[in-house]
Amino acid sequence: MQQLIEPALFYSFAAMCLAGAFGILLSRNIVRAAVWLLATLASAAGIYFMLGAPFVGAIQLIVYAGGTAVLIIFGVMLTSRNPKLRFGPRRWEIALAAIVFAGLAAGLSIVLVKTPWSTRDARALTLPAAASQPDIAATLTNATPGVDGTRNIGNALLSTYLVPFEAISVLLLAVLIGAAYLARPRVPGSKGGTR
Amino acid sequence: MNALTHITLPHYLVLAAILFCAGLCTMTIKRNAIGILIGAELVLNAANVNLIAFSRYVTGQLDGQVVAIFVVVLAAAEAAVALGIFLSFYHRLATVDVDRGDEMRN
Repeated sequence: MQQLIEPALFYSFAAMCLAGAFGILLSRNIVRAAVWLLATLASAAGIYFMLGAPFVGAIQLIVYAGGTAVLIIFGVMLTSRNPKLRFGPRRWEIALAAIVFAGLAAGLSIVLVKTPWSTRDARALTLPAAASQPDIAATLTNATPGVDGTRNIGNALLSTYLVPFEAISVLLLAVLIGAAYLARPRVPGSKGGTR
Repeated sequence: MNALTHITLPHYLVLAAILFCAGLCTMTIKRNAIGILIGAELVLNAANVNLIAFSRYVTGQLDGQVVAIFVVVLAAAEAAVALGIFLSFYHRLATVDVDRGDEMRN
């Protein structure tokens, strides 16, 4: 009975993920698609928790589900003058896309199942390569090798992944300035000049 | 039934592949610009599932999780800039239907 918990959890989270994905595909209303996206992101966070990544799951819930999905709903609000206006793909477009992408998904699934992956069956994760130095591990309380955790990710972010960490800070500054410029208040009717 | 009840790497990879194809299909089909952005978010999530599954089942290191955190941050930044672009599009054309953005045609 206890061995059935993991498959039960996996299949429930996977079913909710795929239900959300197909809800996005099939919904004509953009707000409903945004809510299905929220469901997909939340169940993907559940998948991350199952894969032994609690910190990434928490980040997913905070940043993705709590930030990006709300941002998308704000975007829908700001760009819908007539909420009853609906435009959708044509019939032959839907049919062609369904055939192509169903074939792609089937082909990918077959290849992924048949490939002999060399997996390890251990339940515990080890530290990333640069943070497994013995002097760092000796001074931290939670850094025992074989235990994943937020502290080890924090060490990795400041040691091995320092350059991407700083680069992403600069990127966020650029995004802030760019988005503020793109969404500036405009004189209605002009070609985008500010007041 | 052992292959279905013993959850291994291909289970997560197939989930990620189906999510990826659903996201690609959404990006292809939707005429609403924000629908296309939602499809892009689905694709990025599929890539994240792949990253963390490989980190858990193949390498055992935390590198996949750190890269997944970077992917989440980048996806949020991309959504912000994309919505700024859609706001400019909407100011110019009074709609977010991407089929109407054909001023450079011919």
